Amino acid sequence: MSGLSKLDLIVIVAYLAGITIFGLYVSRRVKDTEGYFMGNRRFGKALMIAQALTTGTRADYAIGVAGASYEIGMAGIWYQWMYIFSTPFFWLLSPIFRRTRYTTTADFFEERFSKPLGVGYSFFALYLFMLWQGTIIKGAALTVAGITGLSETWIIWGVTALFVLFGVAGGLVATVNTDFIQGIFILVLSFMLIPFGLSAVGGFSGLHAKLDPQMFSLLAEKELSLFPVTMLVISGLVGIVAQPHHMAVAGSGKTEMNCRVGWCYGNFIKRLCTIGWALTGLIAAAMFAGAYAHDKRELVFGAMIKQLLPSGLIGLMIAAIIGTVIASCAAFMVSGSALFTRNLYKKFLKPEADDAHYLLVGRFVSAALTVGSLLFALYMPSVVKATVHFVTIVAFVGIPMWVGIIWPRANAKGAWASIIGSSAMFFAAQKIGWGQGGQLLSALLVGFALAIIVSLLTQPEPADRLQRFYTLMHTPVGEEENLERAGLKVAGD
Amino acid sequence: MIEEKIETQKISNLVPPIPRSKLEEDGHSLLIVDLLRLHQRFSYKRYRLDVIGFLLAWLWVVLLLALGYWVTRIGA
Repeated sequence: MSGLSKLDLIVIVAYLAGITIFGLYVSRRVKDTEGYFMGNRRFGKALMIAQALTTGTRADYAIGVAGASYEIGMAGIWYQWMYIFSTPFFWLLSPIFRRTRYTTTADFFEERFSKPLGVGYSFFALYLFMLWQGTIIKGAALTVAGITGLSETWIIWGVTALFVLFGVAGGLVATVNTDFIQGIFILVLSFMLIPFGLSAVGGFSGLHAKLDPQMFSLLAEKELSLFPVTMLVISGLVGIVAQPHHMAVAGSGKTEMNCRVGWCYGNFIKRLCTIGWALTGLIAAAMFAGAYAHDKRELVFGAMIKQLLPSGLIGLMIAAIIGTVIASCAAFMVSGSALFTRNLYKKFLKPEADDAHYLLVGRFVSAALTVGSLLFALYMPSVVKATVHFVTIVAFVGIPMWVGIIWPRANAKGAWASIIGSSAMFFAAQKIGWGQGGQLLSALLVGFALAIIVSLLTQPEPADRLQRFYTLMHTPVGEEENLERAGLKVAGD
Repeated sequence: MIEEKIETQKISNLVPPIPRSKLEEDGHSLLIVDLLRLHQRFSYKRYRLDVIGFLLAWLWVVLLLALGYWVTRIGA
């Protein structure tokens, strides 16, 4: 059955059973919403690193970089390495997330600007979560189906059932506690093919003998030129603050230092793995020269697994791919349910219920969100293209966050104008036919300009709102007595 | 009972005074939050953690780039 050996099946079943039992076991420790959504902010440095690595690393990234390197050489690494220059900024940003003491990014928009902006962001983020999960599930299912010959639809259903069971039961605690295991699986995914591949092509010297020297250049002359990449780096940095799961990824550590080390160095490990993905693509170029056309190049990762790995290790690789899906999707699901429960349900539908009720709602919404993402995975063939556009738009929501943190004069009207104006400019530039770099540059310039001009032309936010926000920003974790003495209640309390 | 007096600081004309933080004075101040008033406020002592960690992170960037380049040269 399925082209897999008994040993492969045993490895996969053992992994899936182990991870599910662990999720259910950990769920006994989750007693309230703070525990479910933010793990009670108790995570240490190692868990924070593992969380940042696993939430931000997916099998489709490895498959994409390997596919690009197969065609254009080592320069394909820049599809993920373009964010290497943003990573040092994670060190500066993570204590800001932790210091807000917010549970969701929507709390930021509500507390710093206005309630409607928080609600608007919540809907935007819920859609984004469903779309992302749908894409992740679909990408992994395609690869696993390619390796095993099993039905893609059945794989989608199976993987989804698994991470729902896991995430709904254990919340962020289960997700983060298994991130160590998932992190190891990501390393397996990144480097396991390399020794087998090098052995097949005659080592590094054999690789150089088989490939054109240009394939080893880190400079991308084909596909990736300097201007669009520079703009993607800048828009990536602008948008990073507004990605809805980052409040948990960067803010659930016990201390500010744990958050800094976790977010920054978890991502550095990902950048290290990226070298493995690109090298895998180079080896594929030597093994399957000219066998895969441009639109089929991402199949080389699965082809190498099938051709190179012995029985048992194929199962391990499939478990690693499924592991990255569970890690990312369970984290997105928990963050999405936090957004709905705290920022929509609690505020507008049932403000006075007890915490057990909100925990139940959070779990129910986690499952419901997944049904939405399942529909995306099953019925939207163009989901990848839609996601690329949507991820770009995250930058436009990031502009008011940056301006709102740095500049006390920024207000809600400026934030609305910035989001609407930059999105409109982006789509207009796309319609006119400008290149990707031009689209991003014009949209960012319009967004920042509107945030500043409209804020200056309208009334500032009330002094007590600004005082509350900047007191949090200037009260490091560990000095909570200052908040109490200032009579400050933290969002979500 | 005597109420404890809170030491405050002023960060902008728009924001009423906020509590002064001992940790912030001792290296935990945040460069991004204070970006617009760094020209008046910056000292290494205040922003120690941000400065050291940020520079160290850039060192990791350089090391990773060097590692990526080195991998392409093995066996050449």
